[in-house]
Amino acid sequence: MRSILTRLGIRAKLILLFVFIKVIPLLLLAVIAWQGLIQLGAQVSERSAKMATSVRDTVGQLSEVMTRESVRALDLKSRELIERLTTDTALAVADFLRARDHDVLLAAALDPSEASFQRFLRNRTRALIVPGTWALNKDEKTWVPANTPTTKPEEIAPDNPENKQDFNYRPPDRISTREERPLYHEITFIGLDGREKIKISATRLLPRDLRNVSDRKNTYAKAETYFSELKHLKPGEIYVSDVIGPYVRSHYYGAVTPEAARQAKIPFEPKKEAYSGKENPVGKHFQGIIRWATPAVKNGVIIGYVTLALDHDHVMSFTDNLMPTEARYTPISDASNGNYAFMWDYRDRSIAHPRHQSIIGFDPATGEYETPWLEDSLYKGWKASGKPLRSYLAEVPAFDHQSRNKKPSKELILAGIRGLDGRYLNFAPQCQGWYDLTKKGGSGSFAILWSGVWKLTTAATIPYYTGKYGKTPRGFGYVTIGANVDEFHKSATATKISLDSRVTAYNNQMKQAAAETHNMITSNMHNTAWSLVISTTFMVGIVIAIAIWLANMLTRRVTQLSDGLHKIEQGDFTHRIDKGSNDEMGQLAESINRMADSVQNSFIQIEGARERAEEANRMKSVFLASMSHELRTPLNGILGFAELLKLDLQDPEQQSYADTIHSSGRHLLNLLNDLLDLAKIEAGRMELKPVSTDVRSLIGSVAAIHRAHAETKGLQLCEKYSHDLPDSLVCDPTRLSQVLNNLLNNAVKFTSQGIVELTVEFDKSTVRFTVRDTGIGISQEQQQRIFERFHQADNFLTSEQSGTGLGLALAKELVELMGGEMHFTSTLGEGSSFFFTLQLS
Amino acid sequence: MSKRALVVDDTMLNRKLAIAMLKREGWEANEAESGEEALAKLGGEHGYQVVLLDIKMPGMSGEDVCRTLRADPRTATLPLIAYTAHALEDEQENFLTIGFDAVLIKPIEVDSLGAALKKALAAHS
Repeated sequence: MRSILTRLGIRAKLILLFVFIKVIPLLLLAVIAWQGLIQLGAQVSERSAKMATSVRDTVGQLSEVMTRESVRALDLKSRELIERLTTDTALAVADFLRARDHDVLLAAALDPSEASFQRFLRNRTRALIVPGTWALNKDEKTWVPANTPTTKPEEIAPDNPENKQDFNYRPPDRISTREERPLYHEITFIGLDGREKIKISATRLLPRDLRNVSDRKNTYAKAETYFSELKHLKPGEIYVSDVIGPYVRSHYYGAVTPEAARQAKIPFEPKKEAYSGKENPVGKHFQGIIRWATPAVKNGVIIGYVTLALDHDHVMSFTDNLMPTEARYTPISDASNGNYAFMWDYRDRSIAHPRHQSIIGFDPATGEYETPWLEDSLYKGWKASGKPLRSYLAEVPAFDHQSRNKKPSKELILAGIRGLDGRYLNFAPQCQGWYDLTKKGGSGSFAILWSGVWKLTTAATIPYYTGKYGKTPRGFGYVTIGANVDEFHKSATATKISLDSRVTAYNNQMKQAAAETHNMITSNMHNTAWSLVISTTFMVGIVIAIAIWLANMLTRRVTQLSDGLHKIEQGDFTHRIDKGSNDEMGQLAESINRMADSVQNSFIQIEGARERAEEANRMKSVFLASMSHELRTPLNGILGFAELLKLDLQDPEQQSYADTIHSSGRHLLNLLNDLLDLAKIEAGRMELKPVSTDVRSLIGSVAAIHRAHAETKGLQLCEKYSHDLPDSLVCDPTRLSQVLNNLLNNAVKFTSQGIVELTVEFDKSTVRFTVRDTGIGISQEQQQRIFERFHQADNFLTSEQSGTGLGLALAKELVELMGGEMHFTSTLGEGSSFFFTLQLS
Repeated sequence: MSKRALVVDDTMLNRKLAIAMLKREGWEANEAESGEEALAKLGGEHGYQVVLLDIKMPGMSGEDVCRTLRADPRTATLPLIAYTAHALEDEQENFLTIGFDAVLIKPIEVDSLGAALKKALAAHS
C-alpha cells in the first residue's frame, strides 16, 4: 500500500483524495438513500397489505358474525313461529274435538227419531279444501293440477303514502277449492242390546243397514269395539274411539311415476296406491272415522246410546293444508320438500300425514291393526318369534335405541306397508323426541338431520282429554310440524351470499388496490433508483472532473518545476523555468532558476579548473618523465664511474670517497624512481600486472635482501605465515615487493636491537601483511605526518638513516592502488608495527 | 678471438662509461655517435657479438636502428641491448617487442650491465 502510494504521482494522489473526500460520501449517501427507499417501499407495501388483510378479515368476520347472528335470530324467530303454529293447530284440533263432545251430548238429548237425527246432521257440515283434479305432467315425472288458474292475483299498493313503508299485501287464496262436507258419516242410536235402532247416514262410507255393533264384524273395517265400552258409561259420560279406518298401501316411496314403477318393477297403477299429496294426488285416501258415543237417558234411565262417526278428513284438514313456510297454506300437501304438518295419536301412531300410507290403519279382513313399518331387526325378530304381532310388540320396549343409523325393513316396503307407529319406528329417532316433548302434555321443538337436511321438528300436545284420552297428559295426541331449517333463514342465507359476494368483490378490489399500490411503489422506487443512480453518477462524474481539473492545475506547476529540474539535472544548465505567477510556486521557480544560475556558474568554473588541473597534471607527467630521462644521463655517469672508481681504487680513503659518490648517486636515483612512481600513480598511469604469485617465495627473496643488512646490525629478521595461506595468490609481485621492501627497509633502518618480524595472515579473501620492529618508534607528533611526502623523522643528510622521504607515501599509494589499506601502530622507544591488507579477487 | 661490442650513444659520457665497464668485463668495445654510424659499422662483416643501442638520439632513434637491423637477415639475430634512460616499464616492454633482446636502464652498474649482456647473448645462442 505504502509502496503504491509512493509510486503514485501528486496528481493521482490529489484525484484519489478528492474521490475519497467527495465521491465516497456521495456514494454512501446514495446507498443510504437507496436503503431508506427500499425500506420505505417495503414498509408501505407491508403496511398496505396488512391493512388490506385486516380490513378484509374484519369485513369477512363481520359478515360471518352478522350472518351467523341473523341466521340464529331468524332460526329462533322461525322456531318460535312454527312452535306457535304447532300449538295453535293443536289447540284448534282440541277445540274442534271438544265441539264434537258437545255435539254428541246434544244428539243424546234429542228425541231419538230419524227426523230429529236428520235435522241434527243437516247443518253439521264443514268446508274442506279439496286437492282438485291432478294429472301426470307431460314429462311423467311430476303431478300437476289439471286446471291452472290463469289470472294473476291483483297487486294492491297503499293509497296513503304514509303506509308505504314495508306495505305487504297478500292476495286472497284463490287456488284452494273448498267443499262443504258433512262432519259426520252417520248418527246412530244403539239399543242396550247392541243393535242399531236408528241410523242416519250423511255419506256412503258406512253401511246404511242396521247392525248389531256388539259384534265387531259388523263395524267399520271390523275394527270397532266400542259397544263393550259403552256399557261402562254413566249418563253424560262420553266415549271417543281411536282413529279407525282401513290401511291404504303404497308401493312407492316418493312420487308415483311410471319411472318409479319401472324401478320398483310393478305395474304403474297410481289409483290403486295410497294418496300421497303431490306425490300421488290420484291415489286412494285413508278414510277414517272417530266415533263419539254417550248414553241416551230417559227419566234417569239409560235407554240406549247415541253415536256420531266423525269423518276423520276434518281432523286431518288441520294439518293437511298447513305450510310452515311463507305460503302458509296449501291445497295439497307435499311431503317431498320436508315442510309439512302431521298428527299422531296418544300412542304415537300416525293419524294424519301427507302420505296416507303412513297413517296407521286396520286390515279390514281381520279387523286387526295392519303391521306398522318396523325397523329391520325388529321385523326379523317378530318373524323369528312366530307370535302374533300384537303380542310380540307387547314384549318389546318402545322407542328402543332409536337411531337414523338403523334401517327399515325391506320386506314391508316391498309389501307397500309403511304405517307409522312411533314406538317401533326405531330408524326414526325423532319419534322419541316428540314423545319426550309431549309426554307431560307440553310442546316444543328440536332439530334433526333427516334425509340429509337439517329439519326443525315441533310437537304440541293436543289438549283433548275426553274419555280414554284423559288417561294421560298427552290427551288426544300431538301435532308435529317438520320444517326445512334452511327455509327459515333463507333471507339471512341470501344476505350471507350477497355479503360473501360483496366481501369477495371487496377482497378482489383490495387485492387489486394492494397490487396497484405495490406496482406504484415498485415503479416509484425504480424511478427514484434511476434518478438516484443517474444523479449520483452525474455528481461523481462532475466531482472526478473537478478533481482532475484541480489536480491538473496544481500539479501542472509542479510538473513544470519537475521537468525543468530534470532537464537541468540531465545537463541542460541553460534551461530556466517559467515563473508563471508570483505565488509560492513562482517563488520556487525563481529559486530554482537562481540555483541553476549558480550551478551553471560553478560548473563552468569547475570545468575550467578541471581542464587546468588536467593540463597541469599532464605537464607534470611530461615534466617528470623528461626530468627522469634527463637526470638519468648525468646519474649514469656519476653512478657508473663512482662504481668503477670504487672497484678500481686501492687507497681505502679514496675508495670511501668513491663509495660516498656512489651512494649519493644511488640516493638520487631512488628519489627519482620514487618520484616517477608517484607521478605515475597521480597521473593514473600506474598499471598493475596481477599474476599468480608464490607469496612465500616472493617474501623469502625480499627478506633475504634485508637479512644481510639486519644481521650486520645484530638484528633478527624472521618471517611468519598463517597455516592456511594459499601457495599462490593473484597479485602484482613487483609492487608487492616494492611495498614490502620499503617497510622492511624502514624497520631495519630504524631498529638498533631486537627483531624485525614479517607476518603474513590469511582470512577468507584478505591477506594481511605486518612488519613489526623493536626500533625507535614514532612520536605522536610524527605519527600525524608519517605518510606525507618528503617527510622524514630527521633530515636524511644529517642522519645515518638516509631515505628519500617518499617511501611510505608511495607504499601507501601502492597498497591503496591494489585495493588494500595501510595502517600502523607505534610507541616511541618501543617499536612500530606497519600492516597492510590486500584484497584477493 | 676477443668479445666485441658496439656502444651506440649520442652522449660521449654514456659511451665512455659503457666502454669502460665492458672493458672491465673483458670486452673489446667500439663506439658510434649516431644510429646512422652504427648501421654503417654494422654493415658487412662487422664482428660484433652485441650492440648497446641508445634510444633517444638525434637523427635515427635507437628504435629505428633496431627495426632496420632486425629487417636485415644478416643482423636479424644480432643481440641488441636497449641502452636507455627511459625508465618506465611500458617503454621497456615496448623495446623488447620491437626487437631488443634486453634493456639496460641508465644509470648502469657493473651488475646490471652484466645481467643485460647475459640475457641478450642467451636470447640467440
